[in-house]
Amino acid sequence: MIQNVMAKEKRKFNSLLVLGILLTLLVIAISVSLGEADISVKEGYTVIFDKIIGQDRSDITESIVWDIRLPRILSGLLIGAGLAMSGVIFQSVLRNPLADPYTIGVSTGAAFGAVLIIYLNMVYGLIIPVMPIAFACALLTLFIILKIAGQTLHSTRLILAGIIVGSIFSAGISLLKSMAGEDVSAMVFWLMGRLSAKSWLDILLLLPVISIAGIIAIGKSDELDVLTLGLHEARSVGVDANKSAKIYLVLAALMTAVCVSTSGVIGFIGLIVPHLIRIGFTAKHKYLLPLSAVFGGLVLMVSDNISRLLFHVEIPVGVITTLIGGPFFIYIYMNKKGEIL
Amino acid sequence: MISIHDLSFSYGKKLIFNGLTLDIPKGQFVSIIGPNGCGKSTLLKLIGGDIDYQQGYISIEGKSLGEYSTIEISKKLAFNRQNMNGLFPFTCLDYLLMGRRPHKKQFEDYTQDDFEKVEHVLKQTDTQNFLPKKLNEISGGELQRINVAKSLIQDTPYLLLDESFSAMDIYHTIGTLNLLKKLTQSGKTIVCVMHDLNLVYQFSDYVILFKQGKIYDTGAPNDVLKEKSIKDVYGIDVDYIDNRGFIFRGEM
Repeated sequence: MIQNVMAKEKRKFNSLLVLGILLTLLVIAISVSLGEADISVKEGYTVIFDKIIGQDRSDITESIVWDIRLPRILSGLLIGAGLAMSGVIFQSVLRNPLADPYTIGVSTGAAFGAVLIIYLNMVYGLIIPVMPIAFACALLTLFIILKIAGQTLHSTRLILAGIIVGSIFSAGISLLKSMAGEDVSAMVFWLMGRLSAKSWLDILLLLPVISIAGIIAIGKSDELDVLTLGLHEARSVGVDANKSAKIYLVLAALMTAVCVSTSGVIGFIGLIVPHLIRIGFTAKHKYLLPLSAVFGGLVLMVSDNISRLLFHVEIPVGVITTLIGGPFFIYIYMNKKGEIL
Repeated sequence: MISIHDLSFSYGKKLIFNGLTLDIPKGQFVSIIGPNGCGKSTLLKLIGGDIDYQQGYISIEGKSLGEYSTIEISKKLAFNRQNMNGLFPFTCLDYLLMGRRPHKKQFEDYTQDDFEKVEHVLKQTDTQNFLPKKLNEISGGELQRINVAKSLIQDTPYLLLDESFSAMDIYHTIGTLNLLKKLTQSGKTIVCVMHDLNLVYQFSDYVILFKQGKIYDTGAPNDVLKEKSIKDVYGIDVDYIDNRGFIFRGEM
């Protein structure tokens, strides 16, 4: 009986995972050939294959596919995965289905840190690395929000705190932008994230952080299951809830920070993807986290294609995700039928 | 045995208990009763460790609450809380298995033993059919049955229940109470907050009657549930029919 139910769930997970991975490969394949320069899917794959077996072609097609498009596509995949997983963690630990890196302001906090450093580097000719400061600011934001929201965590206070703190940081970013005068192009991008001009260096940063944080989160996922019951209930079944919740929040903040410091603020991926999987499948984190990662990556890659192809000018992908995600957020907020708040 | 000694607790300025001393006997069905706001739930929360008392101590089997580690206490005491809202859409099976968590080693999966325990309790509580359903798809009374099952799956010598039958239909209420009563025979201690005095009378071995944070009376149900006491504590007239139960009269 029990084994049957579990096996059925596992089969569903496996098929969804395989579906997600196949779609991901398909989207990568198509995305490589999409864009201004006319490159066929086959050509794209030949370039990637040649490169992998160590055969340099050193032509323009190769540099477009290998140096421009592929890093961009892959960073979309990783950032989408990171944002979706941190969304899952924020929602579960804070027991609030409206929590995600964007709505609780952690993204904006990280972006503020990044902009501040860019500004300081620019004005004083320093070379402070952006990523650690973005991470520190993400943690700081999280800390401030938790202080404002108080002990109970499980409430609209949390979202309210996130919106307020997010707005303050957003204003801070605008302030720095104004102070920087003409040289704002490096900063504007933090307000609405985009995936343009990604290099293999970004992948080198994203891949280890997101995969390691993701693996740790999935490895301890049964603790995350228990945390959704609240601190008291978690303690009753033998989980050191305070410690465990902190570990998870740091993991989520880390993933958010690395995403934001490479792409700027991309909203709502961390909200929509986990929700659809919870509603359609399960809240069990052993399955929810990996599926969110795969489908989060997929959604961001597709959104990025829309952002660079739909109009003549490229629009920030954050605009696309927010335009789709914002109404979805309203929908969840209005429709609490699912009783998950 | 759960011992409470000289316990004081207040919510902010509102004093709930002042020097409360009480022993909850082992291996019995113990009911805690009293009017709304008399401190029943607060007492369970204090024993369950959800809130901290300001003075005195609570001990379980001679060891004070603070001396137990999280994992130790989770093997000793299960707590069926009153408000279980905000649940994520887990399947009932996943939710029930969380009750096995105290017995599970970290990084290991649930074992055959765990499954057998779950199956056993499912049969006892007649909840097998809920397994694949999601928590947000079942009714309030069904969720309470699942919650009781989860607490039993935790397999602890002590079980606290805070109005855990309030939304169950009468059939399942009686079924659950019968099961709990049966479990006391194998040494389990049931500490139960409930309102229906007829059920309290029928099922309890020991009754603790509270009035405004103070113990009014304790003892066997026949001794505690007297017409005079009920009038005194609840302010309502009641007729007692020998060995049958109570009839409450409308006039106040």
